[in-house]
Amino acid sequence: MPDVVQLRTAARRTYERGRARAALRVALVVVPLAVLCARETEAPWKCAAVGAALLFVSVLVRWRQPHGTWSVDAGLATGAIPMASALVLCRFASSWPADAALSVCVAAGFVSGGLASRAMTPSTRGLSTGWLTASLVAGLTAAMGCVGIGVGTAAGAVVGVALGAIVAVELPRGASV
Amino acid sequence: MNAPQRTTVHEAMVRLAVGDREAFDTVFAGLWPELLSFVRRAMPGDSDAEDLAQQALLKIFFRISDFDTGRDGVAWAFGIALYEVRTRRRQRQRRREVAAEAAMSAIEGGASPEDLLIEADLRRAVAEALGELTDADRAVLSPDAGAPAPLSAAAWRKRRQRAVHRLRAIWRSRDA
Repeated sequence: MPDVVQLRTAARRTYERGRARAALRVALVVVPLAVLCARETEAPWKCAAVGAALLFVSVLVRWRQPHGTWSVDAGLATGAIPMASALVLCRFASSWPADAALSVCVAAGFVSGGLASRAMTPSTRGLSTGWLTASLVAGLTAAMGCVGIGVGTAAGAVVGVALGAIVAVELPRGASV
Repeated sequence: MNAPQRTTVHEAMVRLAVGDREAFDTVFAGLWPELLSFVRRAMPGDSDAEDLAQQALLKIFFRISDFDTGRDGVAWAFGIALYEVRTRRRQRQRRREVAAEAAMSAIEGGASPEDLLIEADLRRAVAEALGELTDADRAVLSPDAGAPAPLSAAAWRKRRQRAVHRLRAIWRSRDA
């Protein structure tokens, strides 16, 4: 008869390995996003740094947090809005004034944070902290695009995401962002 | 496993699949005895049944994060166990065939008493398997048999091939 205690320990270890493997798949999305950022902006090292942070957070959340996969998916999907806005700015409006670029990134970040947060509210997923991690991932995704314009713009996007997330959480359930 | 137990294990599997580690003990306690019993029934008298059940259980836990939560968790888990059982049977079958071929070639090149014993055993097993074939099949498989006049060489080959297939099926069913 096999030792059930040992088997239980081995099964638990195997479960964690399986979750880590599943969590690492997010690299298939994050790495191309970082490469896109590096190609479209003239700041490959900044893109790499933010991309590494985004990858680390995404893998960690998907691995350790219950429903982490949904949080990360929501964060990446909604964070793509400010990221895409910033990349379009970099390509077509490089001569825009810094204030205008900052405004666009903050506004897109606000929308992104609101959407990410609403996607993970307790009414839809039964979660209490999911909105926080979704917003964190959305913020880092937004920063990856906006960092090409400048670190201040990226910080603005992150602030926009945070504000949007907080506003969305405070809104009554029936309301929409 | 009765219906309420099955529902409990399924719900715990769904929670574990999305990362709720508190469901681990329920899944482990619900699945392990059932898997062990299933594998023992599938491989009666096999000393490797426990090892195989453990292997199946570890695979289930490794892949549970990919489990589609819309499906029946218990059926999914037993599907993995069944696949493991079938794989082990195929490996065994293949190993027996290779061993038999090796024994036959050893006999051809000068046999030890052990080889002779194996040869006698194999001959007896082959004779028994041949005994289960029809007379027509045995006649086709006879080394001296040639194609009778009305049959073409291709039709004769086909007939022999079918007889070999039937013999192989009997041989495998004896091993299983």
